[in-house]
Amino acid sequence: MSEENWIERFSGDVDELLEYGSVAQPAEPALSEYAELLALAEKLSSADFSHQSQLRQPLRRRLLTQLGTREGWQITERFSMVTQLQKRFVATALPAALLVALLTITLVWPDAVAAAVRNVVDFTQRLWVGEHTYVEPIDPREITITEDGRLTMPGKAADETEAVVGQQAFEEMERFEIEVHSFDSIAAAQLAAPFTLHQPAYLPEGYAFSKASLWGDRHVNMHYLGPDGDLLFIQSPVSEQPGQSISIGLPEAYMIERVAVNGQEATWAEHVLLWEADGFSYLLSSPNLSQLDAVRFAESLD
Amino acid sequence: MDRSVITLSNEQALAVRAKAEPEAFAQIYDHFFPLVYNYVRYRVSDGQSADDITARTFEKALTGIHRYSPERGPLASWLFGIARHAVADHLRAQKRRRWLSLENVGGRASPDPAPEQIAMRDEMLAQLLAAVAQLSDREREIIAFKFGVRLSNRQIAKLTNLSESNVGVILYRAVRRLRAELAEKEQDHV
Repeated sequence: MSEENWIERFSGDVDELLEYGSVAQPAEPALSEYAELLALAEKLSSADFSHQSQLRQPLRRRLLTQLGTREGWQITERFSMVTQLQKRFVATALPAALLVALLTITLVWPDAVAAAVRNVVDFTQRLWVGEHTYVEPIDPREITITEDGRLTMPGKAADETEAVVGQQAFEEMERFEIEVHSFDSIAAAQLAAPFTLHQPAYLPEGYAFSKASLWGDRHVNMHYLGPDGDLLFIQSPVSEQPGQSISIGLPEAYMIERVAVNGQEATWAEHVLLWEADGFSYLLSSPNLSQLDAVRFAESLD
Repeated sequence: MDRSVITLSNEQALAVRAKAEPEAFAQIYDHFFPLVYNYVRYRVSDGQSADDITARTFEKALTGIHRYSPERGPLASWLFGIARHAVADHLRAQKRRRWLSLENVGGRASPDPAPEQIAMRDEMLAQLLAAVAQLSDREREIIAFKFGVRLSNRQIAKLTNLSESNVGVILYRAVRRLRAELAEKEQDHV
């Protein structure tokens, strides 16, 4: 028989093997080599590696939890999250609200300048991430995007008038001595930052650094661009002084999980990883970021 | 596993329900997890990567299930399209990173001593995977679809953009190479 004939016979026999679990005795006896090929095909078809998976059940739980809260996160999907890196020395409600809104814009529309915020989010429950950082839930239904792309949040502002975030917001921030500087290289950001920037050795496939911004002397936002969108990495040195904590607001529909980063407890909220290490508070976020990639990123920091 | 596992009964209705109902997505997950994992495991060299890629596949399936359209093909085709891309991404990254997992350099320690039967089964699986790792990417993919997912040559041809006859040729030659590889290993062992 020619190779072509053997190939045709083999394809038919393998299909029969997969369909019925065995191959009927052929009229024409096969060569011993061919019989060995079929035996190997049988071994290959019966091999099941899935019992070796370490993730089968944890992944199932995580996906189903995510789906169970989807109604909530569909509403909040566009926002990714609302972040507040607010030190308590910011005395009034309005600058805090502006900071929340600006960080939100940085996360959701990194280049956007048009958005609006009314006032501070009313936090009701606090969850600590390490010793210096905490998250508090916000109700995503209270966040709205207007037709012209502006973002508004109700809350308990001292000033009920709507503040337009954009140039005016920057002016407000400057009034409170917060300056935002952008850099197109990590080296340039490092020169300006008053603390050593930490960088990951691992990035999800297809991602590369795109830009960084320094917010006063408080935190540095690093943006990485990749196939699944913008990945934001915020690093902020924590203060040992009492009363100076970092607060992060997350939509209350988010499922919060405790995970480990280098053996230390960290917090995973849908697609946001929060952790503290070596005097820094870190936040990593991207709409399609998997927990595996996030933890790998975190554990690869220098 | 019998061959019918590649299609799920009532999968169209299930896919629609899975957009919102955890129970429906769970049925899809439970059904396809071993198939996706086995496909991935045949294609990459270590279990940790197989876990990562499988997780990425189902995460993308969950976020994209609302875009799945039954008119464009069965659920398996859609899901294995995602898995295939996830593997391709991983292999591209591997070429750049060239890291070695514990399994590649001598096996991962098991926390509990496995019963003899399990050890023998795992040994057999490890030998198979070591031999499969010697094949080309294309051969591995055909082996993975054929034996990991139990697809017909026609289904594999559709997913890989090869002709059906080409799939048959690659399959036959890949299994012959595997046989030679395993025989050589056995010879070395003796």
